Amino acid sequence: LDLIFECQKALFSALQSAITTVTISDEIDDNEDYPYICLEDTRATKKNTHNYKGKEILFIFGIYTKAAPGAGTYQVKTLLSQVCEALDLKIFSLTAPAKMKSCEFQDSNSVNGKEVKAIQAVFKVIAYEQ
Amino acid sequence: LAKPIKYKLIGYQRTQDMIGEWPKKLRIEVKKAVVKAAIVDIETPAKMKLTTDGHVDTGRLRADIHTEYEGSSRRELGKIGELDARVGTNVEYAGYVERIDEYLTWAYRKGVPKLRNAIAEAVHNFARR
Repeated sequence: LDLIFECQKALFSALQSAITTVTISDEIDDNEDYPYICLEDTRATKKNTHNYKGKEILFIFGIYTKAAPGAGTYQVKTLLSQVCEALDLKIFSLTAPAKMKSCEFQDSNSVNGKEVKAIQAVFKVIAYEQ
Repeated sequence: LAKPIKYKLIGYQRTQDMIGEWPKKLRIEVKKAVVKAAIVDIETPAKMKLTTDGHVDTGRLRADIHTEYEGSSRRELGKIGELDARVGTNVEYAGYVERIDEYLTWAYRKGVPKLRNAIAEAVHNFARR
């Protein structure tokens, strides 16, 4: 059982249900229509206890827009709030024997280019095998 | 191989001198905080900066930016100490792009305050136990 993949499927499914206006992908694609949301990176560390084998997984999402200054900032912040609404403090069901314990928004970083604006959203998920 | 750009956190020499005397559990907590901050606050913003500045063509440079630390699978960026984390790439044109747009320098400067906070928080949490 791949805990990371199970969590990734659950988060993607939740995002795709909650946000239907933009593309949500699992890799960066420069040909994508803006705005879009992509999974930038996933990092996992062991979080075992006496009773179960667990993982603490960081999911780092990037939200990109090409809108004009001002409007672009508003657009990425709106999408960030929608992503948080969909994922923060939620517990998603996973394929047994995997179980999610928590999913929390951790932090965000903004990145501004000449034409493209982006914001990074980090979520920490704790999941384990029962 | 591009010439590495090295940065050092100044003002931390006394702390660094004392690291050897720290309990192992504290060093593990600090290492976790350093690696997490390097990945979340330096590596990923550097990658995103390449995208927002329009430097992504094939995606090779973006995909190769990585973080190395003691125990990491990749070891291409030089010798790593117990509490070190190195963010970089071995792609040959990385230095050229860095000179144009300073994506790594930018990410480092933006990430260092968060890195400091993460270390402080790890030490604080350990002291509270």
